[in-house]
Amino acid sequence: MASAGSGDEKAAAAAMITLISSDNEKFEVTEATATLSQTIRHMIEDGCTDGGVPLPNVTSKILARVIEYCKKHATAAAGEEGSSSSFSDAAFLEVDRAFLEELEEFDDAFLEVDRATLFDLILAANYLDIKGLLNLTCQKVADSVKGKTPEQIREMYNIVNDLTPEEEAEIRRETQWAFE
Amino acid sequence: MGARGKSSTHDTEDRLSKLPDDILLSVLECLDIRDAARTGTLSRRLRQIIPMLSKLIIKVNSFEPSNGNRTNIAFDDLAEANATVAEATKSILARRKASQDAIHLLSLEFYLGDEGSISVAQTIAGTMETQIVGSAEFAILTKTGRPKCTEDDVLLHGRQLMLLVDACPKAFAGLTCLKLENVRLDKPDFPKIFSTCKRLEFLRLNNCDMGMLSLLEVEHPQLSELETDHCNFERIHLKWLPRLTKLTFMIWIAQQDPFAFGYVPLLQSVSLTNVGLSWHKMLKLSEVLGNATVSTLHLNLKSEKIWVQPEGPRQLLSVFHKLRLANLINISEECDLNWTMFVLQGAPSLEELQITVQDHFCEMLRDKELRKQYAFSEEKKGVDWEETASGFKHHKLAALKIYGFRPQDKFVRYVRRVIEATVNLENIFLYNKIVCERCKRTVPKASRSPWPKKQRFSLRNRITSGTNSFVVIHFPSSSSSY
Repeated sequence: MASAGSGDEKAAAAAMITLISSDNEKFEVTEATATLSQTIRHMIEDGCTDGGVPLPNVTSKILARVIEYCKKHATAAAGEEGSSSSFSDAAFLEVDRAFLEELEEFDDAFLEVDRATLFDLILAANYLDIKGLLNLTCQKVADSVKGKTPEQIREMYNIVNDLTPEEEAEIRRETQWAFE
Repeated sequence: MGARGKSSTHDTEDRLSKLPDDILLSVLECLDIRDAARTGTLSRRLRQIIPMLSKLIIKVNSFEPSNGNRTNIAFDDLAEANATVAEATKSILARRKASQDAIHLLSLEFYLGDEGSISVAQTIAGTMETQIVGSAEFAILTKTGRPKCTEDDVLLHGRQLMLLVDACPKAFAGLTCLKLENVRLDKPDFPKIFSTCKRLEFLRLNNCDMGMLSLLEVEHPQLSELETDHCNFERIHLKWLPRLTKLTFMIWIAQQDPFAFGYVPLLQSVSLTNVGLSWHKMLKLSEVLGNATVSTLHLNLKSEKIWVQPEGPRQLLSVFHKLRLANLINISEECDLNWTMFVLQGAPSLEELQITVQDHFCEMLRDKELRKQYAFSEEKKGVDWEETASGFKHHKLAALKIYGFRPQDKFVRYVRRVIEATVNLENIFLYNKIVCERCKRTVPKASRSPWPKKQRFSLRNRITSGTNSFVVIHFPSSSSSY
């Protein structure tokens, strides 16, 4: 369809931003990609991105992944604007639907990472204030806990039981309803 | 995080507990209340975080033996599930400290008519007294579902509901959203509920009434959305609703106009759904919409007799002059589409017209005897409409979407007619026949494959030849999810 992907690359070429990871690696990204991060968006608005944006909390390995996410979602966002249906009703456009499906597939594949990387992504998403990525990664952790017994969760996340037997008995009483 | 050692330490590290409070809370808020509470038993840190949850959604369904279908579950099990909701609510809210941040959302779904319901409402009332609660929702279910409800049942439910309101007025006073079902109330009860629930923004009434063909008057300073479904009122008078923006009205039995507007200055969207039976009045939108000037109008005809009387532009101008989106849903496949032109002619600001044509078998009653018994119309389902204004031109319409389009003359003629009647039409979307997943089994022949290229080409030709129109015609493949 003609209206599907048009209009997304136009603005993108305009401005490039340099992001610098904690281990001093430089990443060139478009402004559209970078501004998915509210933190960076504010820096751009304040005009303090000349000479690159240092991100001392994010390693190059994680930053590369975060940029991958932002690139994909920035394109999607541009696509959504491009195919403007004036009413976001139940009957939305086929192009939107295809976009969403593709995006979901991307997200699923994106989340196929080890647990340490997942937590690094959560912290990076939080620091960079990328809401979509934060929700996505938090949901992934939550999904891994669903329907599991406390023992299974403890083992999975190395959670040390620091409760005294008395406390544990009390909690068990309080939350008996959750175990029935 | 980068400074920390290699991945070997990561493998034994408790990264979950080390997350900052707000992130850990976001993780826990993605969980069902049961899983969240279980997580709270793992360690001191997790125990402390649970009472800080700002979004609490507790649904009785998640405590029922088999999720979902109420009809197969014994009453005792429902009561037990209700008791668990009460216990969960109490145990989680009891540990919140008054000094904590506001609760953004408190959403409870529970059954009416036992101690569980009273206990839930009392706990919520207590929380509302000591803490700031943003949105508070009650979805109050009845143990007997609508299909099985007798008159005695709805009367009993009505009494039980009022007992609950009387027992915990403070809980109801804090609600922003209330969903009720299967209750028959006394005349003074509805006004009492409206005045008790003074924060109410959303109200849904499903199979609620004050006896057959009674008259309900609604006055509320905050209410912005009202939904009614299968309510046996003669009429609902929306007398004074200064904040009402959205009205959804589904399935009525009134033989006259099922509702009337009083003061509803902010009303934007009206959605009407009905199965037109032989005795239903043909609604005149100019009369039924009264003094409302909506921008969005949805009419769902449920594949049965059309119950809207087409009217001329002069009659409609006062109710239609702000209308921007009109959506005519589930027009029976046996109906002609010409009648829908009255919407276009009557609504000069209309930007988008959506039409869905389908015989939605799984929602329709098809047994001949039963159709007779329930007074389904035996006449033809369509209406005749003769355009009066020849040479009519519409200047605002930008998009026409037809769901359930077939390459038949009826459709082609209709689209051509819209093209000829519009000046600024930019896009036409023709979605193939819609088949819902359930219907699919009863209509094996239907396909939802995309249009073949050749067919698209010939359709484009048939539609636009001789019209001088630059409109772009799209043929998206249709989805089954409609």
